[in-house]
Amino acid sequence: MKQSKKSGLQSMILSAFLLVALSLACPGADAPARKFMATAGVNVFQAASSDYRNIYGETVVMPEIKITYMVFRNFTLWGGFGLTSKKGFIEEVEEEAEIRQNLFSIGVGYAQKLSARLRLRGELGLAAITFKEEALGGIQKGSGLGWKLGADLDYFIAKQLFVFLAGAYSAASDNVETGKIKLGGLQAGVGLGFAF
Amino acid sequence: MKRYLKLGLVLIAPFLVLFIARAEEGRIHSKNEFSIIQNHIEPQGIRVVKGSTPSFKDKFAVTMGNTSIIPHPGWPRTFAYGAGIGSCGPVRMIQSDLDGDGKGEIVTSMQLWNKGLVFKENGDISGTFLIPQTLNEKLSLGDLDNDKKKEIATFSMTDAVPLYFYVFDYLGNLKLRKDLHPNIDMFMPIVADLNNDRQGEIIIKSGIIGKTILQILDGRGNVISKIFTRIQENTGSVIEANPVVGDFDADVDLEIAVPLWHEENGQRRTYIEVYNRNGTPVPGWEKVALPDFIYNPVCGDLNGDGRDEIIGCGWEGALFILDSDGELLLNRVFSPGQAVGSPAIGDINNDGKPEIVFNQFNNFGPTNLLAIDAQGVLILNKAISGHAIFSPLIGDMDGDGIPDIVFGNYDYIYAFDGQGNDIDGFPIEVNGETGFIIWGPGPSICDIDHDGKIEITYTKDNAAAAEFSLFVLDIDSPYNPATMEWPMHQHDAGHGGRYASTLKKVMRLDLMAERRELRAFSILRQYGWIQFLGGNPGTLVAQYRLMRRKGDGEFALIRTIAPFELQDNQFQMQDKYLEKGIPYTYRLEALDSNGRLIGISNEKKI
Repeated sequence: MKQSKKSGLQSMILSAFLLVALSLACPGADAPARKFMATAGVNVFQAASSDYRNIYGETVVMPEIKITYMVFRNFTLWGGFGLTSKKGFIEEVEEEAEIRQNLFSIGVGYAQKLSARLRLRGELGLAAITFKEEALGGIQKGSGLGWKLGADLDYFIAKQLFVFLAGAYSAASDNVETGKIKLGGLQAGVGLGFAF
Repeated sequence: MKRYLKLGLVLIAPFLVLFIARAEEGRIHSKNEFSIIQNHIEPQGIRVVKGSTPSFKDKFAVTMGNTSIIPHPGWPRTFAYGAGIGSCGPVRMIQSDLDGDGKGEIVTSMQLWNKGLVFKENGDISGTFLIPQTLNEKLSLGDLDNDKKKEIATFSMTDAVPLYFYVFDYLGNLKLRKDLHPNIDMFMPIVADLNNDRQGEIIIKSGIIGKTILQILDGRGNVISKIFTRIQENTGSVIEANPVVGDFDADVDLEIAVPLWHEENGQRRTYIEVYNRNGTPVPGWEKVALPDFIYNPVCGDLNGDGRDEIIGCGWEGALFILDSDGELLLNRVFSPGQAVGSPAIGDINNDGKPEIVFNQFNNFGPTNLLAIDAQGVLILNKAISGHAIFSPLIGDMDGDGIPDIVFGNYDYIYAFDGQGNDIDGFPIEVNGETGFIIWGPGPSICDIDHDGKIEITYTKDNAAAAEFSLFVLDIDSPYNPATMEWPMHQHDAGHGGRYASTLKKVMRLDLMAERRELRAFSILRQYGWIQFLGGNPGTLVAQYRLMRRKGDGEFALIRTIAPFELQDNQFQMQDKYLEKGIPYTYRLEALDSNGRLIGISNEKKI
């Protein structure tokens, strides 16, 4: 099956956004002692596309890792990667199908300490979602560039270690032979973080 | 005395022309103007020439296909002309199972060769029979005595000896010699079972000046009926206009339609008189005439009314259709040329109705082969490299169950389907080299070795070497007698010229096909949804074969279905997946345990 091709425009936009974000963050000055956080979590992902949900089910498990950098006071710069893989079944022709998605995201955020152990982070960024679907005797690959909005509630269980609850919504789209498809969706999950 | 002098001249004229034709190249138009009988050497524009090379031979490249087409073991056989003038000329290899062993024999008698040969399928000569003088195609085959073996019926013809009628057995032994004095004849005996008693009658159109006689003989040479036609044929030619058998009154037996050339005051007509076996005229045909001379007519029930129509091509190029009561239904010249030779009848588009296939005249130049329906609507126009007087053939050449068209001229043997698509491996280059009058190589479709695959026979002349060759080719494609609508010139080995559909014996299957669309998350595909109903109760179907053609390609088997797979006599399946924008055509066949086609569906295009 013919694969959809993307121009280099998306990567150029992504790079430009990153440069702007870095320049706005004024990195360097007054950096706190622990400027980095690395988190790993597992999410329940619900695709925005009903076609997706009809074939592959209402929810999909999505592991995700993320690195956050405190660039200035409470402002953060973050980047994450999540992936999904799910098999489905097309009843009309009684055939199995499979889809894999990768979600790359990068953006800026704000971290607000609520108490000695609690911290709330809000995040906004760009999301680049790629997919590969094998179904109906064909393979379709594609990708879309969109946005991602999320929030994390951190609970520090040690000086550098915390657990978190996370929720996010991502939106992107791609044009394929079936028309415009929605690639993002709602996700909610838990995880473990490490500050250093 | 003067009268006999004219008679002698009339008889000598064809031989004189043959001699001239071999002696020098060039166009010869000869028309002997006799006051009583006229002898036309050729229809207007037909060329008599020796050693000609088809001028457009190189315009058509030979198709290199996947179908194996090779000489049949033991063939070709090549023979020297001998003392006579030689040449295949208008003589074919006539195939039939003479000895009843299931395998075919081939009988032929070359132009002016004075003898005939019987070949086994492996090329061995199994019989030889002598004929004092032969001209044109003179052999007809049929079972004349209901002994499950076929006899060879033929004439002699010289300018001095009266007409003799001979019957030989399958080994070439003389069974009957009958003096038909004082009649002469230039055409051939027709063998057909007129009264359904499984014994062929012999139909002879002959005559002397001022008298045209139709005789019907039984297998022992006894005269069943002898009729002096109302119209006297006053024109002769080496081009044939033989009687044709047909059912014109929807009774249980067949009648005989006799074409009679008559020219008066420069006006050419072909009168058609129709007689019953007992010699009584069939009402309605007392004064039926076509406004031209015609080539060998053919007949068949074109409109499904149970009565046969007569179809013939006129010398000036019109195609005529006479209704069963003699009414002229069609008199039309089809662009771009003139109809020529003997037509063929068969269902080439699987619509359950027979079409008429004929070719157009062009003197050693490219021309066209046309097919029309019974109303004269053109449904096929296929370019060919040259014309032929022998009729096109109609039979399934690629195993799809639908009759195709085979046509031979001095360049090629063509085979194509009802849409004009070449059958894989065709055309076959023939390079007949020499044209007499352009009858063509006279191909026939057969299965002489009974292996279930097609053989094609044809003749090839080589004037430069004073020899001719007889070819049998093996075509790696199934031979299905049920689809052989018109497998040889004048339809059958008896030259009856009558179409009787074989396809009607094949049950019609009900096939449905739809193009459906299905999407996954990001993938959109189309598939064929196929459903059919099984054959009629009581019909022993061993398997169903679902065939599919992609675009303009060939039909290919996509699935065989056993009868037990049907539920409630119904079967459904999906054909996954189809390419968008490309039409797919489906057809269902039912085969019995011997692999014979016993059912077929209409084609469904999605």
